[in-house]
Amino acid sequence: MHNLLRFIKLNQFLLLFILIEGLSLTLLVQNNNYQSNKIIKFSTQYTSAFYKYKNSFKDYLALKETNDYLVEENAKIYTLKRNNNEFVDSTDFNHKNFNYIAAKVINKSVNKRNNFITINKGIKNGIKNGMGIITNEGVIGIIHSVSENYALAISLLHNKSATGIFLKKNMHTGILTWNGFDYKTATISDLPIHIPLVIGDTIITNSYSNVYPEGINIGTISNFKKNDDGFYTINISLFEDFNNLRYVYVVYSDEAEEQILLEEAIND
Amino acid sequence: MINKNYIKYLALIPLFVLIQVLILNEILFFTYINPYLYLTLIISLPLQTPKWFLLSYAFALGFLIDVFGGSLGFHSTATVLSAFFKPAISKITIPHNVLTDNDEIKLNKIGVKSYLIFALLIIILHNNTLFLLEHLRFNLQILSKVLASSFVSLALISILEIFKSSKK
Repeated sequence: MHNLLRFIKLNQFLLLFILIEGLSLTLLVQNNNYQSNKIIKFSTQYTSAFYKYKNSFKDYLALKETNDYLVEENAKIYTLKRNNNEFVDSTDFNHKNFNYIAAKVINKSVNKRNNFITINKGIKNGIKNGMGIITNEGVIGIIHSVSENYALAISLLHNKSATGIFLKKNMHTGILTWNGFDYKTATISDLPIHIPLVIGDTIITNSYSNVYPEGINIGTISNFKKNDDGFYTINISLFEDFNNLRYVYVVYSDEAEEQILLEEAIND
Repeated sequence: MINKNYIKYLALIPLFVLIQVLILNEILFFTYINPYLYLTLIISLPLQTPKWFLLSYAFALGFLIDVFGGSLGFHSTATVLSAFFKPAISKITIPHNVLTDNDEIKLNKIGVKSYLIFALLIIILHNNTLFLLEHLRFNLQILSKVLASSFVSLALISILEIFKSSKK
């Protein structure tokens, strides 16, 4: 017993270090789950309120750009609406009805390996886990945890993000991931090399997703190389500037739930 | 044991967390390099600081940065690790007999050369741990990120240090 006490006294720095470092690592491992943990859920409520103040200041400085953005968007929607009245596309089978909720980004990061986005809509506004977030210029992420007034989303710039895509010109499918460095570039590594590619080809979201509507532009191919294993490594330059996100849409489809239930039945 | 230095350092935590969260996190060099100014607190804590204070202080600092970043454990692990190795690093880089017991570690006290080496080692240790934990692998791209990021942080911390010493 005496020896034990002496040992503890002699090595107290090391023991305390192991204790505190162990605590940190436990927090890290717990937080690394795809599901959010309680501490993050709890702290988001308070940090979000803080970031809201920060944002009200930043918004003031960016009024002009926001105005331009909204005018542009208005014009787009106006054209879309006019075209829609003129003819109805009878070949459009693949149409899941998506509902849109407008939200503002109040916090985001782009420089970490796993990035998150906080938006100013929560349970009160009907936001649920698993809903998608998009803008005009691409997919942004998936809702990960929701509090009363705010929601935290996994950004496309995340280790575990995987977005189903089509090559727009020939509808080949692939999966878009992010390798963790440049927020303007994402990667596709599961397209086989028999598919002809050209730099500048556009990629869009595919129609299999329950989360995102089909056909949202994501980015263009900036460069690619053929690998020995028979697949390309393709770098995609993203249309959306993740460092400058302001307004986004949370999208959800009532029919998506039906599709998920149906597909789950196979697994049972 | 309570010294007015510790109260000052505790009071500096919110200030440096705010600077990091409000200003520095908005700044990105070369699209992904983000300076970490808060390490200056760990660097300048006096050498004779009780070990328990050093470690818990590092944990509190890292934890707050983490919470505001929406992730847990990354900064606290890295900061506690660099605080743990601080005494060892100071032994090999800081000349003996230049500091009295409660002196903070400052550029004008220990000399430019030893300060830069001392600070750089701690920053590299911190950045290396942080990025390894985030990416969970090691390659040339991560090494370059660690080095680039460390030098940007070092530059910022040195500028703050020069500014502090010229004020007196």
